[in-house]
Amino acid sequence: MAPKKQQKGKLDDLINPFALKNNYQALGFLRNFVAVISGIVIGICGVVGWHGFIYHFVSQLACVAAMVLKGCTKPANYFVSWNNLLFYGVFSSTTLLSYILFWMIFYNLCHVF
Amino acid sequence: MSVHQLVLDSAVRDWVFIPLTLAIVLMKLLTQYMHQLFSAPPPSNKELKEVREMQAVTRAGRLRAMGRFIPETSYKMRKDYFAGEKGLFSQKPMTRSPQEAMATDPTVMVDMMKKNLTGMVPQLAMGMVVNFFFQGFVIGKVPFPLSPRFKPMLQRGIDLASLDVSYFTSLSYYILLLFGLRGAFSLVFREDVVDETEMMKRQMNPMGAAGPMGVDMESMFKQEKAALNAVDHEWEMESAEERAVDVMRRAIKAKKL
Repeated sequence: MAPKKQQKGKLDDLINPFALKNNYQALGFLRNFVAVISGIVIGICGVVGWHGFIYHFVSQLACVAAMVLKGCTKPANYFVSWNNLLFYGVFSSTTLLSYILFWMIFYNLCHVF
Repeated sequence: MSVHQLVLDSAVRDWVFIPLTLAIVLMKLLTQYMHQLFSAPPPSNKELKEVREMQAVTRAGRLRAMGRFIPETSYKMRKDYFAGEKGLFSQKPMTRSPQEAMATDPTVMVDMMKKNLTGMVPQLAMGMVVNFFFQGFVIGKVPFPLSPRFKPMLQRGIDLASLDVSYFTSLSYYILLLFGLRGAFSLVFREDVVDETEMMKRQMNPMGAAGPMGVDMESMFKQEKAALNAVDHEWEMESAEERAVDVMRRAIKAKKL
């Protein structure tokens, strides 16, 4: 996992910009990947309707669990805050659109044939 | 089964859905590689004087930021060099403003043309090809129900009012593919893949970000001059002893407790 950024207590936070950017990039990559994979799985299962999006958000939350397992026990040290870790890139258009696209493709391939 | 369940021929799947997807993926790959090949950074065509001016501005900024580490006379000497009567910032800068640069410098134009050609044109051409060949039939179903407002968006060439909104035609599928493959491609290529959206943003504010030329040098000179004159200088060494005494007193107090 990416290097820790330092924190210096009461004085202003010392943030290593490269480490922070690296961390966010890793999280973004993971989120993108999970969106594609979960889209494929949900498409093959044939889930129809708006509740298919719930699975997307569930899998994005699972990314947070994965990050915690990877070593990020105190998110304030690696990302800026808990909220950032939870919500970075969840509502970005790339992940959502990838999820929808792959869901659609595999649903069509398997169930509308 | 629900009332609106259309049965689509599997021949449509074989001959349209899969080949269309593959074709668009390959085309995107091609454009990506062409972009990488063609976007070598343009040779920097700045003259010596312009480079010197930009660096002078940087130096002046640094002087302001770290002025407290040097004694008073040194600071005054430097400040006079920059902001004095005959100083550097009082002379007229040689750098042309970005508008002139855009007009007189052909390399910037060629650059923009190259980027546009390798980016937008193949996509437009492909869109026309798709529209020509795969027109007039429904190609697939969106997995979630949509409101009727999406009908003209998803079903371009078909005028059946009773057709379920979830079914879409090949042109709308093409556009969906274009947008959706950005995410998948950014997994494969780790760098920045989102070239079209950047280009679109850049086209919307053309004078926002100037090219390789610096921003308007005259106004920057004036700003630096005013800022330098505004700052008061204080050498940190003078107060260093008192601060050291403070720190030690606090440390002794903390140890006593």
